[in-house]
This record gives sequence, C-alpha cells and structure tokens, in this order.
Amino acid sequence: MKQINLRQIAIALAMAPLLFIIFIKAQPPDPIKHHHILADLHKIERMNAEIDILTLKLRYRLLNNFDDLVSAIREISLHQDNLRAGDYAIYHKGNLPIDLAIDKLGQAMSQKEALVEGFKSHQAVLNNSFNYFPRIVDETIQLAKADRALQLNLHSLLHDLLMLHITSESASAISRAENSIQQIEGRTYPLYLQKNIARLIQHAKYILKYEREINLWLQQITSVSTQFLVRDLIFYYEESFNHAYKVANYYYLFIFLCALILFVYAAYSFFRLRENSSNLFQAYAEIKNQKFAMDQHAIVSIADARGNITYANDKFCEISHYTRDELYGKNHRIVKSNTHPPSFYQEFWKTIASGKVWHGEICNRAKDGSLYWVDSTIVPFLDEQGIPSQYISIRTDITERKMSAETIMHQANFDTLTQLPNRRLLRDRLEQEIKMANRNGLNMALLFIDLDNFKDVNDTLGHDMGDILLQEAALRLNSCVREADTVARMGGDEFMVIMGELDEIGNVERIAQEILQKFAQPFKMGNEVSYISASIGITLYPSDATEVDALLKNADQAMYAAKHQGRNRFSYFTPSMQEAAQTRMRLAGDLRGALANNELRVHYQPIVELTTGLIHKAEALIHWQHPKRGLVTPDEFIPIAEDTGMIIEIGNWVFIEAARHTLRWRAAHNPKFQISINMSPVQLHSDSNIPATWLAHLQRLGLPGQSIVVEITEGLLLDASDTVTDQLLEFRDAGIEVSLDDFGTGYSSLSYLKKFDIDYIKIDQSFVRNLAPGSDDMALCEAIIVMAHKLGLLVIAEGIETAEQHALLLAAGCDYGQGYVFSKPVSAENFEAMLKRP
Amino acid sequence: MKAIPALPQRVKILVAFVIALVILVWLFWPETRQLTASQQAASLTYASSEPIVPIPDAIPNLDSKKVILGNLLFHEVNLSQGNTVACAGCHQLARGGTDGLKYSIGVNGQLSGLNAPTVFNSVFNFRQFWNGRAKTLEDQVAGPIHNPVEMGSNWTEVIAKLKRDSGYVQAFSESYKNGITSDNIANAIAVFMRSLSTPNSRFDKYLKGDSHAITPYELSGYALFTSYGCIACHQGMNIGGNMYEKLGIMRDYFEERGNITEHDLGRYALTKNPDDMYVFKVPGLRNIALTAPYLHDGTAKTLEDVVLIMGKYQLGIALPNEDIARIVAFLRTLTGEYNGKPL
Repeated sequence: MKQINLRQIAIALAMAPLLFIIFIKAQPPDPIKHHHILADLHKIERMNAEIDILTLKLRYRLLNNFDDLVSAIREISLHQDNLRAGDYAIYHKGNLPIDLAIDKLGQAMSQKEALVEGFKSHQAVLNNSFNYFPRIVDETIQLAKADRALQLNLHSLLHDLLMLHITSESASAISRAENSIQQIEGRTYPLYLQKNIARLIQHAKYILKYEREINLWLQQITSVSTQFLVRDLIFYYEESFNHAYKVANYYYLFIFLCALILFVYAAYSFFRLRENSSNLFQAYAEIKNQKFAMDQHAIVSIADARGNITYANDKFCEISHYTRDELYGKNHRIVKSNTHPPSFYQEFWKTIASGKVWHGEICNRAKDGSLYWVDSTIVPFLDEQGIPSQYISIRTDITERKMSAETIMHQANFDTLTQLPNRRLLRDRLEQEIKMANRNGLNMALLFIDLDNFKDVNDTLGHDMGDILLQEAALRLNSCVREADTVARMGGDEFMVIMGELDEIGNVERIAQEILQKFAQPFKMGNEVSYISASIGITLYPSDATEVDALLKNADQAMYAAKHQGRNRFSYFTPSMQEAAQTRMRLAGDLRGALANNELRVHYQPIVELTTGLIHKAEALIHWQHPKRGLVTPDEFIPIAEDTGMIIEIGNWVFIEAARHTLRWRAAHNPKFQISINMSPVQLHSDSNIPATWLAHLQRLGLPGQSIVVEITEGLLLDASDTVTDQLLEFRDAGIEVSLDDFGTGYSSLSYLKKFDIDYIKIDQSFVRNLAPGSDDMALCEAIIVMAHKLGLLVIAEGIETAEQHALLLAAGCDYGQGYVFSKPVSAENFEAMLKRP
Repeated sequence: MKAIPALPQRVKILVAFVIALVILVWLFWPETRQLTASQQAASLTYASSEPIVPIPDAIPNLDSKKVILGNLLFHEVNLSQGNTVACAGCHQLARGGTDGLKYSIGVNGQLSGLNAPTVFNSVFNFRQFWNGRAKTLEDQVAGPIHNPVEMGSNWTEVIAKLKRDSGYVQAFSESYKNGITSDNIANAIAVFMRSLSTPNSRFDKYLKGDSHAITPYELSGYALFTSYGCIACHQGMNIGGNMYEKLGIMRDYFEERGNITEHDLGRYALTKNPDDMYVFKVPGLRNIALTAPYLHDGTAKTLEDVVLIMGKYQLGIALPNEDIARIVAFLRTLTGEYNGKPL
C-alpha cells in the first residue's frame, strides 16, 4: 500500500514538469511579434526597392539630394538590427536557414550600401559636372562668338552629352560625343579661350566617363540579390512561424485531448462516486438501522487488541451499570466475574487471538457487584498482518434464562429445604457412581437414613421446627461424609448417602457410626432442644445389587430392618431381606386378585367379659386363604395392602362382613354385641372418607354406631392429622367406639386417650404373655387398668393364653379378655356356633 | 506700275500666302533655339523641389530628462583621463559646436590631428566622424572618450567615476533601468546631441517661402552654388553630411598640399579599399560661417579660402572673387538658431 503511494507520488512529481513543458510548448508563437518581424522584413524589402528607385531617380536627376537614399539605407539597417535582436529571434532561435538568411542578407545589404556610397560619390561628381558643364559651355560660347564652328561643336557636344544622360548608354551618342570632343580638342584656340576649353573638355570627359561608370554602379546595385534574400527570409520566417504554430497546435491538441480525457474520467468518477455514495448512503442507512436494531437487542462493545473498550452501546451500560466514560479506555476485565475458571478465560483468549470467532455464555459482573449472564459472540477483526486489531462483541442478556434454568434445574434436582440433591438427582448420581464403580472396579455404598421419631418433633414443636431440624440433620450428614460423596434428601425424614470409590467396606461402617453419633447430639432449634436418632440401611454395590432401583430398595429394606431392630442403628442389607421383599411383592400381586377370588376370609375372635365369661364382643380378623401358600397371616399381607392402597378396599370389605355378622348376631344372640375392626392408619389418612361410607352402610342395615368398634394403633395418633382426628370424631359422634390397640408398646401417651376420646385400651399381648404375680408386666397391667378406669376407659387384654393369665387379669380388674384361652379366631359359622353354645 | 500688271491674279495670291507664311514662321519661330546651355541642361533636371531641405523646427520624441543628463555628461570632464577634457571642450556650443582651432587639443595638451567637426546638426549626418566610421551618434560617443589623444579614458573608468556622483546615480536611475552603463552614457549624450539642431536659418526661411529672408545678392550666391555644382555634394537637409566624396576630384589636393598623414587617408583607413583613398564624409554646411577653420585638416582659415579650395580641387575651376563673395554671402545665410536663439 505504502509502496504504491510512493510510486504514485513519484509519477505525479514526474508528470508535473512534463505537463509544464508541454504547456510551454503549446504556447503558440506570438503573432504580434511575428507581424513585427514580417513588418520589418517587408519594410526592408520596400526600402530595398526604394533604394533601387532612388538611385535611378538620382541617376536621372529626378532627385537632387541624397537624404531619402540615406534614410532608406538607415531604415534598412535599423530593421536589420531588429531582426538580429534577440527579442525577434525568440521563436526562430537555432533556426539555421533563418540565421543564415539573415547573415546573407546583412552581407548583401552591406555590399549594396557600399555600392550605394560609391554610386553617390560618382553621381555627385557627375551632377557636379552636369551642373557646371552647361555653364562653361555658355561662357565659352559667349567668349567665342566669332567662332561659329566651335559654337556648333559645343552645342553638338552638349546635345550629345545630354542625350547620353537621357538615353543612358547609347553607343551612337557616346561616339558622337567623343567625336565632338576630338573635334574641339583638335583645333587651336586663341589664348583667352584655351583655359575655358580645357576645363570644358575635362568636364565633358568626366561626364562621358562617369555616365558610363554610373550605369555600371546602378547595374551592380540592382544586381545585388537583396530582393531575393529578403523574400527568402520572409519565406523562412513564415515557414518557421507556421511550423512553430503547427507544433504548438499539436501540443495544444495534446493538452486538449488530455483535458478531454481528464474530463471524461472526472465525469465518470463523479458519476461513479455519486452512485457509490448513494449505495454507500443506502448501505450506511441499512447499517445504521441494523446497528440501531442491534443496539435495541444486543449488548454491543468494541475493544482494541489489548481488550481495552473503545465502544459500548447503551445496553452495555445498562446491564453493566457503568457509564460510557467509566468504560471507555478501560480493559474489558472490568466486568470479569471470576465465576468461570481461569482455563475458561485462557481458552476464550486463545480462540479470539487466533482470529476465530468465539461463541459462548459468560457470566459477567456489573458495577454493583451483581452477576449477569450474556450469550456472547466475539468477532475479531484482523489487520493486514492477520493479527486481531479489534474485537467486536455482541451479547444478549440471558441472565433470566440462565437463572430460571438454574432454578428449575435446582428445583428439579435439589430439595428446597435442605438444598440437598433430591430423589431425582440422587438417581442420576447413583447411575454415575455405578458407572464409575464399574470403571475403576471399586465398591460403592448406598446409605438410607431415616430419622427416628421425627413425627414427634413435628407434632410437638410444629412443622417449622421440624424443617429446621431437617436442615440441621442435612448439615450433620454432610459433615460426616467425604467431599465427593452425595447426600440427598428423599423426602420427609429420609436421607440417602452415596459413597463411591470404596476401597474398604469398613469405611462405610465407620461413617455410619459417625452419623449415628452426630445424630445423637441434641438438636437445638431456637429455644427448643430435641433428641432424635437415625436408622441407617446400608447396601453395597455390586455385591448386593447392580441396578439403581434394586439398590434403592435394598437400602430401604435395610433401613427398615434397622428400624425393626430397634432404631438408632445401622443395618446391612441381607439376601433374606431381599427374599422377603420378593415374597411381599408377589403377595401384593396376588392380593389384587384375592378379593375377587374370594380368597379372603373374616375370622372372629371372641372378646370375653372377664367377670362373667360371656362373649360380649368379637374382633374381626382377616385371613387370606392363598390358593398356593395356604393361609397367609394379616401381619404378612396387611402391610402390603397398606403399601399398595388396597387396604381401603379390603378394609371396606371387612367392615361390610363385620357389619353383616353384627346385625345377625345382635339379633340372634346379644343385642349389644359389638365387633371391633382394625383400622389401618393408611385408611384414616386416605381421602376416601371412610366414616361417611361406613355410617351410611350401618344406617342402611339399621345398626347403631355402638355395634362397631374401631381399633387403632398408637402410631396413628402420634402423627394424627386433622383428617384423622376429624374422622375419629366422626366415628365417636356416630356412636362408634374406638379402641386403642397394642397399648404399652409405643408412646403410650396418656394425653391421647383424652384427646381422641378413646373408649377401650387393649393391653398388648407382649405384656400379657409374661404375666406373673409380682412381675413388672403385672404391675404395668395393673397400672394401665387403674389408670384406664380412672379415665373412664375400659381395658381389654389381648393374647390371654392361660387360665393363670386370665385369673391375674381378672384380679387386676381388667374388663375384657381375648386370647386362645377363650378361642382362637374362627370363621363366622364356627363363631355363631360358639355363641349358640351356652 | 504697268510692268507688273502682267502677273496673273492666281500668282499674286500664292505670293501673298508665301509671304504671310514666312512672316508667321519668323514671328512664331520657337525661341528654344536660342536657349543657353544652362537652360537646356536645366530643362533636363526633373526634380521639382529644392535640393536643400529646411531643418524641422524641433526634433520629435526626445526625452527631456535624457537631454538634460546628456547635457551634463557632454560637459563632464570626468569622462576624460585626468578629468581635464569634456566633450564640450572641443565642441563648444557657443562657438558653433567646434573649438575654432585647426586641430583640437586633447588630454595632456595632445593635438588630435583633425579639425573638430561641429556637434550641431550632427543628428542629420548619415555617418559620424570625418571618415564616417560611426553609424550612429551612440557609436560615436565612445570614440573620443577612448581616443588616447582626445579624452584618453575608458568605460570602466568613466562608469566608476560617475557612480561616485550620487547626482548621476539618481539621474541615470530615473531614465534607465540598469543605471550607469556605457550604453546608457552613450545614449544620454547621443540624445543630447540629437537636440542640437539649428532650425530657422535665414535660408531655411527662404526655402519655406519667405522670399525676403535672404537678399538677392545672397540668392545669387545660391545660384552660383548650384550652377558651379557645389550643390551636387552639399545637398539635403544638412547641406552635405549624407555621402562620401573624394577630396580632390579634379586635382590632387593632397599631393599639392603635401605632408600626408594617416588622417588624410579618409575611408581607406577603414576599408583598405584603394577606391576609398582620400574619401571623406561630405561635411554639412549649416552654421558654416561659425566653424572656421575648415576642412578635415583645418587648412582653410576662412570661408573664402575653403570655397576657393573646393572650386579648385572638386570642381576644377578657379572661382572668380566676385563669385566667391556671393557664395560666401549665401553660406552665411545658413546659420540657424539653437534653443530659439541665433548661434
């Protein structure tokens, strides 16, 4: 580029003197000067002719002085000087023919001048003699009056000389004159005449001689070729002028053509420029519009090679909270957020510095410290060397999208309360850990942690406190595990821990112990302090299972095992757990067809008034006559029914059976006969509004509420929701009595007894089984009975198997008894038969 | 009477006719036959005007500043070696433009060897100097300045001297672009010399139509001047000064005078042409009465002397004293006026 410029300048510099020379050359010869020269030449020509004429005039005495001749010669020399003067020669300089012709003319003129001078001298002498000769003739004639012959001779001589003068070189006149002179000389004259005659003859001879000579002079003068030389000179001048004019014309034409070409070029350039400018204008308008549009949409900035900002649009300022003044000249680092690792920026700079377009999402920091996300396209603009000279970045604000995406991601994958990964993310992590374990051949452990008695905290301290406790529990869990391990919340009070890359199984146990220890610490929630423990189920990959679902199930079972083993402990998953689970699963599947296939049976176990020994009541107990397995106990399939939700259907079916038999047995045997039905917490927690259904059924049968007793467990009351309470109250309002099952095994909270308006307490068979006089169980039973009676409740003892137990309970004041000592649960037919028996 | 009547009537009439014819021829015989030679010769002179032309009243186109400057220079002794001689030393305007000496005296009292010609009317001369070696007055100026026996100086010296004079420096700068140079000095002096014309001589007045300007005696002198042939050379405005002529046409002047010097060679000194031996510029005769002595060698002390010499050597005649007196009387009418005052 620069080289071309230099060359262009050099050409322009060379062209300038060239053009100047051409311009000078195009100057036509000055016509005025040319005319002056021609005028001089014509004057010379005329004066030259004038000289010829004047000499002739003088020779023939038409003129009587030389002044005109002198001035003619002077004029010629004056004009000749003019010709020689540089001023007139300017257009003919170096023109050899002209210089030569001038010189030749000058020489010829000098020659002519010299001749003219000679002519003048001779002519003067001739004139002199001519003037004087007639006078001397007259004088002589007067003196020689007598001499007639002399007179005649003199007259004749005079005549001849005059004629000679007129006729020029007339040979006859000359000879006659010479003859006359001889005749005059040939004679002798008297003394007084001799002097005159001598003078006369002298002058006559002079005349004769000079007449002839003067003609020669004249001939010589006219024969000088000045006339032709002047004509030649005129011709050469004309020629050279015309030539110079022609040459100048050519140059002029050349300049004109140059001008024409320049004009055409200028016109072309002008039109092209106009076209270009309109295109440019359009393009500019487009670009302006596009820029406007882009500025409306995008965050635009331009930075130089070092990343210093040279331009930033309004959007940039808006999002970054910087003013333009603050941005211009500053490095782009000003908005760097450091949320990306250094490798990210290195990669970014490597890309754009190499001239490639970079596209990606960057998190930047605004002036106020807030972060914002931009989808950035950075285009490097390269200089001649291919090195980026500036970068234009076009960004769009994706903060919202980014944030919402993150939020969604977070919500989808994290538990909002504890910020721990949720069930969903746990599955992902688990899958990844499995893959990793497969790769590195190491073991992996999955821990299922369930908080023991968490419901109590919720119930006693409220959900807010429960939430705080869960958060604290999450923190404790996190503190126990390694950095790489995952702690997740599965919901409620259930947590999971994934421990990958286990080279030693023992580590798992160590951590499980640590968790238990951590949970043993009291939980402080504001002013409240709560004690809680955890049950941990542990399953190992790949020894226990290889599938995610299987692992989860294993952990769950192991946790239940821990719970069953008495809580606040951990339990490894075992194959038997798996077997049981499988059995359960199969049963669940079979259970679905059990009702329809009439495989379920309701058996009744009599409840006997201890004081009278009469069967006052019966407990409805469900039996499943499995076609392959035989009899399946409720303990085995009720949890399954609960898990699968079939408990509602089954429960309803049991109620309907019980209600039918109650009606029958009330009518036939005892109008106050009651059948108690076990109520699963699941039934009461469900939305199926069992009381309404049941009461409507009882109404249809014409049975009072007192015909049915609902047996519930303490656990139900512990986390009794409003629906549970409402339903229980609904039963009571309808006259249906409530019996608290398995009393003494759980919390045995007395407050519940009043709160839920319990009618009966059933002492768990575990107390009854070991009853002996003075034993703890005995004391407990007695205490329960006393307390129940104090509260206005009736007590039923379960699992009475011996007469001794029967006696002891009777002694303790227990109201009713139930057990094998009276009867095992029997079919409705057998029970009816039993009733008929006295 | 009776003897005669024999003649018949027809014869009588014939005789009477012849007699009448003879008488008529006698009476009307053309007089030309009795014309003198001079009259016959004059009849062959066709020139209608006088051979002598009057000087115009003023020379046109003269730059008065240059005339003044030229006048100063003309009187400037600094133009000569030793600052002793000015142009005006030999060409005294009050003495008809000459010095009245046979030979002029130059620097260091040297004699020039030539009679100084008048500067008056030199403008009308076709050449300057006796031998006509200068074509123009400008050319002429350098001559005397460089002539060792006249002013004995040179341009370098002259210019250096003039440049010391602030008056000249200013005067030259007013008239010439390039100040004091040899050309400009010559020009200024030449311009001044052009102003030295002497119109309104009595003879010029006569030529212009004032027939009483000269006396019949003087007029008869002019007639003699013409008829003797003097007019052949001394013609034109300057009554000479427009041609060369040999001194001694009819007789050898120099042989008879003897003691021939280089100044006597005339144009031969320039051209080395034998024909130019003793050929001089014919001097003009205006103010001739004031410029004695005469001839290039200053040998003729009076007008009478010079007219006599001219008659003898140029015309080959011994002019009678009476005629010389008349011619001299005519020559005295040629004295004109300078600056409106008679010389």
